[in-house]
Amino acid sequence: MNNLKAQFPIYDHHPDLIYLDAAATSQTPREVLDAMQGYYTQARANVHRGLYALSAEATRQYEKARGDVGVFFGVPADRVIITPGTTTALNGLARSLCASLRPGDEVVLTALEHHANLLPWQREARERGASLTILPITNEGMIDITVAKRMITPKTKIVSVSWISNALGSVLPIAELADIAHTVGAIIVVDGAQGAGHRSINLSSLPIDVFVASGHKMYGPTGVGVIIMTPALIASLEPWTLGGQMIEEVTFDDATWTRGTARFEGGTPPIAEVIGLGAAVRFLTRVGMTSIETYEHDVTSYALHALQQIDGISIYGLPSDDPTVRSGVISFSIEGLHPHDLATLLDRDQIAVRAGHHCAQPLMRRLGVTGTLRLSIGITSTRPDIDRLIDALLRARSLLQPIQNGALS
Amino acid sequence: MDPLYRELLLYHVKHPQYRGSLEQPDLTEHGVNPTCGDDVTWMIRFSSEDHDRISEIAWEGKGCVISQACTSILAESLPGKTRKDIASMTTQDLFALVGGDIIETRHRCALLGLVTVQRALGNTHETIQKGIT
Repeated sequence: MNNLKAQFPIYDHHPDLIYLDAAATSQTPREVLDAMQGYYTQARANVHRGLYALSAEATRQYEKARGDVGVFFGVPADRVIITPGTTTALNGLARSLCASLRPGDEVVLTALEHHANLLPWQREARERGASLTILPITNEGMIDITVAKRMITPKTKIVSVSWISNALGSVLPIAELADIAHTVGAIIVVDGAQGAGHRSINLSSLPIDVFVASGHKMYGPTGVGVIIMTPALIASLEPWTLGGQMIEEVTFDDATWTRGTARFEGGTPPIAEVIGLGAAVRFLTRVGMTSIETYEHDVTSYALHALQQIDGISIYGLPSDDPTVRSGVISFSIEGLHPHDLATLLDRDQIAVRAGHHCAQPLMRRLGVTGTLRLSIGITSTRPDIDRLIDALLRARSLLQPIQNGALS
Repeated sequence: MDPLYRELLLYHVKHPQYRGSLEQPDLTEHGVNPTCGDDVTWMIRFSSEDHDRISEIAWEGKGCVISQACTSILAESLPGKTRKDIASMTTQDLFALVGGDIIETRHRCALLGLVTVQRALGNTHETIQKGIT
C-alpha cells in the first residue's frame, strides 16, 4: 500500500504532522470532503420530503450512501440505521433494549468498555432493578471466554461489548461472545467504533444482533454513525427519537411508528455527513480492507518493537503483535513521567497522541494507573512516523530527566 | 532552557514546598482534574487573631509537572494571605508566580491548585476557568 497522506488535505496544511490519534478520530480523505461539498453546492435539500427534483437528487445520494455502507458491512441497505454516532446510538439502544428488563435480570458488559458502552446500561439497569455484570479482563487486557461462559447466565438479557478496546487495542472474541449470549437467549450488542475502517467485518455471516459504529473513526465526517440490527429488532424495537419522518399516523392522543430503518431516524438526518460516509466506505473499499489490515499490522508491529526498546516503558495490553488479538491502539507509560507532560512535549514535534484515561476510568483503575499515553495507527501512519515518535519520546525523557536523577537537588 | 518545562517548575516537582499534611486543619478541600485524574488536597489553618488570614497550609497531590509545580509555587505564596487576597487571584497572577504563561492546552493542569484553594475559601475568581471537580 502506498503512502496515502497525499490524499488527505490535512497534510497539505500540516506537512510535518505525525497524526497518531486515529482511535480518537481519523483524518478525512479529499473525496469525502468533495462528496459533502457536492451535496451542499449542487444538491442541497431535505431528504424524503420534497416533491421537487433537488430533493429527489439529495435523497438519491443519501440512500446510495446507505446502500454503500451496507455493502461495506455485508448487509442490505434496509438494515442500516443512520445515527449521529456511537454514543447517541448506545444511549438510544440502552433505553429501548432495557425497557423490558425486570428486577433480577442482568446486563453483561466487559471491564474494557468505553464510558459510552457503560453509562447508558448502568443507568437503565439501576432504574429497572436489573444488575450489571462486568466480565473481568486478564492482566493482559483480554476476556477469558471460559469466565464469560460462566458469567453469562439465563438471567442475562443483553450482552454489550466492544469489538476492539479503545484503550488497549484488545480485539475481543465477539463471535464467541455472541454465541454464548444466544445460548441463554440474550441479545448481543457490539460497539464497533474502534474496528470499523481498520478491520473488515461481514455482519451477514456473524451472529451479532446489533452493531454500532461512528463515521468519524472510519475516515468519514463527524456527526454520523450507523446501527446495523437484525430485521426482527428493526421491526419490534421501540424507537427512542420521536418526531418527523419516523411516524405512520399521528393524532393528538396517539401515534403509530413507521416500519423499517426510518422508525429509528426521527428528524432531519445529517445528510451531508451520510453522503460523506458513503464516500468514505467507497474509499476504504478501493484501498482494500485486506491491504489496510496488512498495512496497519506492519506499522503496529514496528511500533510495538520500537517502543519495547525504551527503558522504563510499560506497554499495556497483550504483549503480542498478533492482529487477531491486538489492533493498532497502543497504550503505554514511561516510568516516573506523566502522560500529559510527554504528550505536550510530543506536540512540540507535531506528534499528536492521546494522553489520559481514554474515557475508560474503571479500566484505568483496574490497570492501577490514572492514565496512559496512547498512540493509534491508521492508514496514513507510516514507519517513519514511528521513528519520529521514538526520537521525540527519548528527547522528552531527557528534558524531564532532572525530576528523576536529582540534577536539581 | 525549555520555555514550559523551565527550571523553576522542575525544581518544584523535585522539591515540593508545603507538601504534607496539617493536624486538625480548619479547612480541607479536594480537587480533581477529570480529564487526567490529577488531584490536589489542601489543608488550611487560619490565624487565631485574624480568622480570615491563612497561618498554615499544606497540600498533597499527584499529577503532571505542571499541576504539581504550580501547586507547590502557589502554596509558597499563601501563608499570610487573606480570603479576599486569594479570591482575587487571577490566572495571570498565577502565571506571574510560576515564571510566565502556561500553554493553553495545559491551563487546567496549572490551575488545579488555585481553583481548588479558591473553592475551599468559598470564592472563585470569575476569570478562572472551571472544569475542576
